[in-house]
Amino acid sequence: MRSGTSVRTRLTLYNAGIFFIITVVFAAGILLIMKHRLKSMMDDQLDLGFDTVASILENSGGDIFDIMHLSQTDHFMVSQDSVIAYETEAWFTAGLTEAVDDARADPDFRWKGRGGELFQLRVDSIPRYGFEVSYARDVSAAEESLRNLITVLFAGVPVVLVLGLLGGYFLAGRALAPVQSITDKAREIGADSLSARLPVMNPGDEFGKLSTVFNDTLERLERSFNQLRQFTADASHEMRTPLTSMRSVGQVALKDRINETACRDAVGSMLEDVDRLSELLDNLLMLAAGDSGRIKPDVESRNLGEYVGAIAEELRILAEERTIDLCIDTGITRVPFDDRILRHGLVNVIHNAIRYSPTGGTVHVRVADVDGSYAIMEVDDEGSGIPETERELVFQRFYRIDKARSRAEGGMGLGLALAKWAVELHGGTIEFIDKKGPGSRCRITLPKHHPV
Amino acid sequence: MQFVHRRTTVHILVIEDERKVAEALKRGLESEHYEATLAYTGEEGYFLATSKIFDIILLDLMLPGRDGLEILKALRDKQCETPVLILTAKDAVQDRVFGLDAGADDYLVKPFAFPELLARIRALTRRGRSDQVLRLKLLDLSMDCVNRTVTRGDDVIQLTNKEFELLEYLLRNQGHAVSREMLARDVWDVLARATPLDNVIDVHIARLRQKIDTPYDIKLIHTIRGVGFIMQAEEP
Repeated sequence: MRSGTSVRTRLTLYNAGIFFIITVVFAAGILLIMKHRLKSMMDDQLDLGFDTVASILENSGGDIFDIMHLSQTDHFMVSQDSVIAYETEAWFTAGLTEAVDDARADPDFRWKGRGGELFQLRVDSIPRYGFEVSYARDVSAAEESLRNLITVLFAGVPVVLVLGLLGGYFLAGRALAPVQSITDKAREIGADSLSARLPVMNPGDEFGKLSTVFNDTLERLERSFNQLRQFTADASHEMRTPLTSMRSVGQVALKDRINETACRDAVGSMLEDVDRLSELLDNLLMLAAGDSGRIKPDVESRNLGEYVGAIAEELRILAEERTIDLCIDTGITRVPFDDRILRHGLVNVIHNAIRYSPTGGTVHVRVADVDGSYAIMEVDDEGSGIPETERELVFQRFYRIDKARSRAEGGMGLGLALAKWAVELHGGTIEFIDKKGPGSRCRITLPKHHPV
Repeated sequence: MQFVHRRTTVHILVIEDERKVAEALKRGLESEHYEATLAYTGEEGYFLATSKIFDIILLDLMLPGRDGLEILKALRDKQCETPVLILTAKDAVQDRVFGLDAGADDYLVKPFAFPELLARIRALTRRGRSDQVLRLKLLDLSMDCVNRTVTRGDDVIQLTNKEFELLEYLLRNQGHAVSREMLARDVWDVLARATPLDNVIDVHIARLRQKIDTPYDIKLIHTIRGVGFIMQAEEP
């Protein structure tokens, strides 16, 4: 609705608006109080003058002689049976007599004198002596000061408004200054310059926090961007290898006039490469589906020990071929998991252990319970181990410690990445940890109560 | 013996828009003595399926114009009960379930191995007939599935459980190529392809060969490079 106006303008307007409302309320309050105070002051003075005249009359027993001593500048008049008994000079000069009838009917009546003065009157009778006393006071000074006050207040409101606008504009500008610099910097950040960061002027204030949070996001973005770049490079390399081999095998087979056996061999070799490509594609698709969260594990409480045992037994034949001793030590541990997904994790880890163990070595597969809340699976081998610096990297897609060796053995560098994905999908962790002696130990922990 | 169950030629309608794939399928099926008719669009396929009699329909799901599922539904609505085998590039489980709900008899995810396709077609043509042969033979090798004994000539051969299952599967598919994928799925009960299992299969095949082939002149298990294995008396 206000999409076009800037935050600064809006803040300024809000500020001025609030100032305006405060000022008006304040002014109205002052005005009301002053008006009330002046009125009661006037009334008091009027009463005082009237009472003086009335009490003198009372004290003198209805003789008007005594009141003649009162000042001739006071405005009062005493009448008896509508006939003027006494009036001061000031009363006479002002001609106040003509106001008496109106003042009798309305105690708040104001009479405008010939000189422009304003008079308020009090008219009351003193029944014991048959007198009626009319007392008047000039209230024009009070009225004047009230009018002055109104003028000042009304003139002040626009001034306050203008000051509010200016001050608000200035303050909003000052407060929003970091936004401009953040905006400028953020504009520069794109896919090519993800390493840039937003300026953090004061890490404690709101803008500092905003920048810090944004910088964290950028950090993560940059990391996943780099990973993606690396991944794309690795994946295309991995695809190029079988493609190159297919092309050269095919071209050579076409060039030479070869016999049927050689021809079959060439086609067979190409089919092997196709197989490799489709396996790679399958694995990548599965990881992609996992990344996008499209795969929901079909979790069921199963005996992990038994399941791991079965998988290890399935692979035992590979250990036997290399006279590796495969020791399986699994107890009954019930854990909720999706067997088809977790299989990726378990198979690859055990297979790696067998692959990288020296002939005649031992591979240990253990499954145990930890304090009832976690199940742990550990696979030990006696191979060359994994350097500490690479223990996290091995779980990255296409990462290889020994590039030439693992590819020659048919690995694609996705096994551990799949394992990590499979385990983490179950809320578990997978890592390589220290162990005594040569080789490595892979530890998988799975929570026994997974909130899927 | 492998052609005994095929009384007359089996007619297969292939509805597939990619010409290269369609033609390769036709040639491959014809080399297996099937008769194949090609349709490159859904409309053409639907017309052929409703105007002629086929034994099996191979249906690609991603077709220009009317897509595979629509055709399948239209056919089933017209009371056409020909077995339909869906070929799909979509690996999503959702699509598979959808296809089977729409009346498909089986599905195969692209890229599939040809031996796999042949095995599915054999299964569809066999449907309704008993598969329970309890004695399997190939030349002088025989297997008794009840007593779980295997003999070659006069020799009794001791096999492990896995070797027995593997041999049984190869014998039941004798004369037809069997891929590692089929072995993984049907003998090991594992759906996803993985290098570890391929290695396991290879070692088991090697051991099986040592027991039933190495001591004898005529080899029965053959490797077809890039495809898998085949069990037959002649060299492939």
